[in-house]
Amino acid sequence: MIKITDLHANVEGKEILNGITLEVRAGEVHAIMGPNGSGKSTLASVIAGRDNFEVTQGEIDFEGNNLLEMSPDDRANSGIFLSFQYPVEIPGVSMTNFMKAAINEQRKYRGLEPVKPAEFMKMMREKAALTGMDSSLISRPVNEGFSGGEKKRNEIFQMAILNPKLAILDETDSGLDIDALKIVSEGVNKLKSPDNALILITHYQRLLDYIVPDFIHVLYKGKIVKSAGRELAPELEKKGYDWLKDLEI
Amino acid sequence: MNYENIYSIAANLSESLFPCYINAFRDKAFDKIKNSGFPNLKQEKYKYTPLSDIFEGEYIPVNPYEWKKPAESDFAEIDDAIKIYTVNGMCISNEIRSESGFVYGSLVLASREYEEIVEKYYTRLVDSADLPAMLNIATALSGVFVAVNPGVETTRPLMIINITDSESGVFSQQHNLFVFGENSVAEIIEYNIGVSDVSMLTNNLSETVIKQNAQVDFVRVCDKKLLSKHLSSDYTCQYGGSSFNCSNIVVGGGLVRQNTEVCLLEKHCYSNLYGLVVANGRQHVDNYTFIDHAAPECQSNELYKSILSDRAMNVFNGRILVRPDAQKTMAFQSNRNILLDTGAKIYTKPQLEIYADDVKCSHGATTGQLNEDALFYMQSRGISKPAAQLLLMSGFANEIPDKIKNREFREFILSRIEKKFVIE
Repeated sequence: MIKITDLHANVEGKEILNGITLEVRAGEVHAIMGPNGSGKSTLASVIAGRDNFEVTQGEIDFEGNNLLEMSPDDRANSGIFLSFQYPVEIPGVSMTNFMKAAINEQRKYRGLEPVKPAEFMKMMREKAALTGMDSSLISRPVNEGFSGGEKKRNEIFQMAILNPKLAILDETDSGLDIDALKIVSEGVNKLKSPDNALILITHYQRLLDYIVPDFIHVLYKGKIVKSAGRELAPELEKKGYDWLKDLEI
Repeated sequence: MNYENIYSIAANLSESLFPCYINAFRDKAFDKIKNSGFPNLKQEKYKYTPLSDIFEGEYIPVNPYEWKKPAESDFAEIDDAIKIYTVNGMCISNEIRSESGFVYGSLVLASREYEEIVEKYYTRLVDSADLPAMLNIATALSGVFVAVNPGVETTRPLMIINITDSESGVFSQQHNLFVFGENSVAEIIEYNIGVSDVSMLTNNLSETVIKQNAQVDFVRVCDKKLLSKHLSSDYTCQYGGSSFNCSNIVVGGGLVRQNTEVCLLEKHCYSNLYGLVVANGRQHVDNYTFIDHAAPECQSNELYKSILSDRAMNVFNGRILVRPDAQKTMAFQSNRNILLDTGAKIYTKPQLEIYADDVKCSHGATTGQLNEDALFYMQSRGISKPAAQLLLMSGFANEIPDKIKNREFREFILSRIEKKFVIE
């Protein structure tokens, strides 16, 4: 589905990603772990198309398209979704208008007519129920005055509405208590199918108790230094990240 | 302009139009102008929009006996409002009507038929140092009169559509008088629109009297063409327990100056002033507001916003005076601006003068660009950059038109604003 080859990226002249190669196939769940500052969130941002990062080398192929040449909105419409570590508040724009604009742009991209109002409202209600999102939040401005947990749930709600092929969850577990984490994870698990894929970016192993990955990659100094199956998680839990310092990078 | 000439024409015509108590004001007002050296006078109040800029150029005063009737279909989409049309300042209805709780019509007729009301308030609210207002008092020959009797709750909004339309540069003026009796409820919409884009100058004056416990909603929209200069001086006085919601929206006009002055005369007045400026090209908009807390225990809220692009310029000067006796005053002011281009400018100045000690007052001003994080967030959901910008701009601006009570007019203005954003 997505194939990242030797990806290098800079921010303000400083190299953050230092040759990442990663392939994710439909139906798979990949976890990317690593200490703070290892480049995890940068990788997510580069895939989503944030323009304050400069890609200096490498390529990303998404279902046969050169992702790096696409605008962030085209990437989203072709099936990529980023769940933000810090979801943005947008005063004056209601969740309803925001999601209606998003769904209609996606439909336009696929050559479909705009969604009918009744159908749209039904979808909003259904997906809110599915992801445990308080339906009173739907009429409010995007993320404005939402609690930390509500913001993260809102990300998963948007993911449910847009139904992406590849979802990247950037530190979705941070700032969540255990109950909120359970609800959010349940939402994600319900959206999982053999046709879509998931990249989980997390500092802690805790999320992986709820969303079980097929592969775990450890990112350090902008490089994947270790890849293994899900059995790596308990080992990382025990050892922490200190062992990385002994690696010669 | 040749003021002497305009004045002598007006004084001449006025004798046959108005009763003498109206004409008696003209001499005194014109003396003020002659003595001050208007329009070259330098005034702090007109720092960024000098009077000489507004009044430069030659304009022809409107002949009160010549005007074009507007098309019947104008504003048909707002069909639940009573509509009054003026063309170049001239009130086109030649009668005073009573409808849905309003008494309304031409000031020329009202100055005789409702002499006791008009004589009581005419020019009484105006600051004699306000020279454009003095010019209006000295030379305006037309206006709209609206009254709501005590205790009457009007059932529909009253919409005044001021059309400027001419082939040559006209100088148009109107002097409007609104009197809302005790415990009355009313909504007024004033829509200023230009039909032809030729150089013209408007110098309007309105006086609004809101008696005890009356509730008045006032919406003023300037949607003129780029060669128009539009000057509007709007004085309101509020009596005890009354409430006033006033929204000033500017989407069009080359040079727009609005003076919005509210005096809170008695206890427990409640006053909300809202403003929105959407300007592009080389539009120049200047809002001066003055809230005079002359009585204790009143509250005023002020929120003015602007979105500016290209080389547009906007000025906000918000003066609040809390007089020594006005204890327990609450006065809040906020001015928020978005600049879309580096050539756009905003000058914002709060001016709080507080002479009472037991008050709550605050002011704040912000100026920024569209939030880049919000734009990326929207794009990451598939929304194109222009569509995301439009959503953000509407989200910022719509807070003001959303306060308009009448649904049809609110939707009309929201779509007008969106059209302007699309051009930007």
